[in-house]
Amino acid sequence: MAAGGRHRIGWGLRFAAILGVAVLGAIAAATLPDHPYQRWQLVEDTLYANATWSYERLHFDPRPVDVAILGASRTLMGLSAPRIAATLSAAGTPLAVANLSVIEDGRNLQWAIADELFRTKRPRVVVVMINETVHRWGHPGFRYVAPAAAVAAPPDPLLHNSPTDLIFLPYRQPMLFAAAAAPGLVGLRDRFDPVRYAAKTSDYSVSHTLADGKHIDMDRVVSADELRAEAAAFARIRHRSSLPSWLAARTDVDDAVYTDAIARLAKANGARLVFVFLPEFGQPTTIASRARYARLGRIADFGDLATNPALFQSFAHLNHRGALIASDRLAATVTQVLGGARAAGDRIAAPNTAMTSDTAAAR
Amino acid sequence: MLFNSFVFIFGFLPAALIAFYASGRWFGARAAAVVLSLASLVFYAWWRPRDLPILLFAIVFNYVLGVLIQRARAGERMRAARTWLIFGLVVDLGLLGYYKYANFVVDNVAAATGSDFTLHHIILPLAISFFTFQKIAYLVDSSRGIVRGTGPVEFGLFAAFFPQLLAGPIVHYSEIIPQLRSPLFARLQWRDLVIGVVIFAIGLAKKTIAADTLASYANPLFLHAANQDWDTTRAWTAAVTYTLQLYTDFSGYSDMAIGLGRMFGVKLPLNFHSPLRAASIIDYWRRWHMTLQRFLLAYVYQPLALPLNRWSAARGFTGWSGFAAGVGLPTVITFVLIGVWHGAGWTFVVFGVLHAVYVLVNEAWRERRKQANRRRRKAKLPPRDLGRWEIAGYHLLTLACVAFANVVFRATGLADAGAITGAMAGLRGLAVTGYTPPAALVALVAATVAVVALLPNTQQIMAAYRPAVNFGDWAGVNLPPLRWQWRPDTRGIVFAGVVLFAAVMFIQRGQAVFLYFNF
Repeated sequence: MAAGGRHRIGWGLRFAAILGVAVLGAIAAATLPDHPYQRWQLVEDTLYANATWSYERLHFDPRPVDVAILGASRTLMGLSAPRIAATLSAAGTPLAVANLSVIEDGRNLQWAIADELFRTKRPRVVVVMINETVHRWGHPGFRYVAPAAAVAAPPDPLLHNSPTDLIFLPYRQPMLFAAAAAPGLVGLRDRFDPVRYAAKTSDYSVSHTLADGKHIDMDRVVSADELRAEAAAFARIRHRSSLPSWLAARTDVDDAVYTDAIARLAKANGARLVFVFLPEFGQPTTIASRARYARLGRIADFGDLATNPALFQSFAHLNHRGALIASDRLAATVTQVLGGARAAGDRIAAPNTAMTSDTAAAR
Repeated sequence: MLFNSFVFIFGFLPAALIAFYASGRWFGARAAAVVLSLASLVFYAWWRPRDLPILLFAIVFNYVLGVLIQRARAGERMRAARTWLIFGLVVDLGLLGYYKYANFVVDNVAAATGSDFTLHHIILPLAISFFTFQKIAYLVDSSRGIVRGTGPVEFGLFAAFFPQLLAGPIVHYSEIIPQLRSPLFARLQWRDLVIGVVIFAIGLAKKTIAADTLASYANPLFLHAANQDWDTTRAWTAAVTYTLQLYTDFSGYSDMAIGLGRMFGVKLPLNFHSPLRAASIIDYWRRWHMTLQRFLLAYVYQPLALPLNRWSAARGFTGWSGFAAGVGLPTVITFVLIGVWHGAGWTFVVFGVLHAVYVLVNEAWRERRKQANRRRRKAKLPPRDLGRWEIAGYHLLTLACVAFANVVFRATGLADAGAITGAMAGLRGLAVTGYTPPAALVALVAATVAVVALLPNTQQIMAAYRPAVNFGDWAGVNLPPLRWQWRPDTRGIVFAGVVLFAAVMFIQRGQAVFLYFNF
């Protein structure tokens, strides 16, 4: 339909053309190249700061990573990499341990870190956190740090977070492109700063301050009643899926999809998987999908800790004392897992003398 | 639901458009109106479902009252019409008063009397200030005989129509209903869809690119203001940044509302017409939040000014005493009402009083100028025109006054407002704190000022397509130095697509609530 006889195409086509230009603009923007280190810095001043530290640990820290821990706040605070390394060393298996956990659940971010891990290091054991319930969705930090290709083509396009992650790319990539061209423009560094890196927290099992200014006292001990009250308060605000089950079965499977992806990476690189379960205080200790995890690796189930309030900093997190116990137990599990590997001639037989530097950096 | 959210842009809006036009095509305009009304209720309830009963009550109550008033008027029972009107106003204003001002009044009475009586915290229902004024206008117009023969379906849509529901423009029955009764209503017009999308995209860009960026600088400056070190530089930086943020935020929202209305084939009234280009405070108020001003002018100022002028004339008040009674008093009342309409707090009262003083000074200056020109005419001299620099000075003075009052408007309390305005007035030194605005902020403010000062506003860009129901009144007013009109040619399509893309992408930075959602 001509408008005023001057324009040849109709208004419907013009409408489509406007939307088309917008979509093309989005696609063009999403394909702009970036500097991966700057990408991982996008979460540096957030609660997910350990993701940036993890990238630096993997890419710029020359020390090896023999045991890598992937998980959320439960493993970030509940497992001490220096303690595990020290226990392993005392048991005659000196290994470098790095806790690459990032606050908040979401297996896709753990996969993104695992992807970086296997690009740069040769870990022998990858410890993956599991919960009593399977977390259904992706991590909020994934869209910031994951490579554009990984965001654009997730293992399953129907995953709950995939559309919103995908639509983030046309915003993220121009910003990163600009940052790569002019590093000072948006405050992202293009070079590694060892001084800054050394000053960062890497052991969250000791008291620390988060990016939001909240001080976490890891020596805190509270009563069982207080812990139960915290758990009850959290249960009231916990987000539940409002999707019908047939749809949730397609969209809420982030854990399964990305756990399998991590397992494939581990297998391809000759690493063993250990799934570690750190319980919440007073909560059920039955691990959902236990059989599935058991098929992929060994399960280190520390559910028995759930009954002792003296080991908890909050209802969901172990305190320092609890973390030390869990770390010792995990070290024992790793030793067992690697026992077979060492017998088979694994390179772990060559001890790693740099393993305690994490402790030094953390302190 | 926020206009600047993905759930709205990619979910609600396409679904509502498809449902509306499909029902219009297959079941008629009445069915389409019902569908759009229901969609609007979903839109409203999305954020806080518990507010929905209040909106539904306001719609049903005012519809019934409107019908009663119209019937009484048609039967020439003016006393009954008046009684129903007063009843309606009492209920509407009572509801608004309870939700918006009860805490404020009780707290202040308790503070003044030393009483320890407290009221539980009452949560303000979303958009109650806007939809209450809309309903009041409807009732008053019914009693004046302007509104007749309202049907429930068209009233439901008029009252709930989602583009204007949350933060205006505050629409009048007489400008919306004829459009709903048009034979073209609910029939898909791609032209309206295109024009609506372009207006929406411009508004969204104002919000997500300009307003939210300015907010990232303005918010920290106003945080715990009383405890910060202020000097003139820092205070004016805060004032100018916030003024630009407020303008781009609210005018962006209004553009989006107008664009959305157009997508559904309904033209809404303008809410802004480049107010920051005004050279006087009176002109500023004609162009800022225009639908609120016209409401208060029609339903508060004029009903007050007319009898007060008669009263003062009857008592022989002339000159300044006549001015005080006939102009001063209604102006102060109207502007204090404007202030407290925005919120229950002393800062809003002071904001209203400040603007009342500005307007009265402007009125007095205008009157003196008229008298001076009258004397010149008598002396056979031509009237004195304002020089270019003089006009520029008035522009700057107007902006300075607006920015000064906006600080009071934005501040969380009088102590904060006092700290910043004192520094603006130079009481704390010019640059004693060593504060210099970040280079990025200077560039941002400069760019925003250049756009506001030099480029056409949204309706001027879309002038060829009569973007608003009252555009004719403003088509030739304050044309910009640089002119450009959107056309649906290749350049226009690329412009619209790029603006839409950029505006949507900037949503990713974080969805900030519109400032006027707080009111």
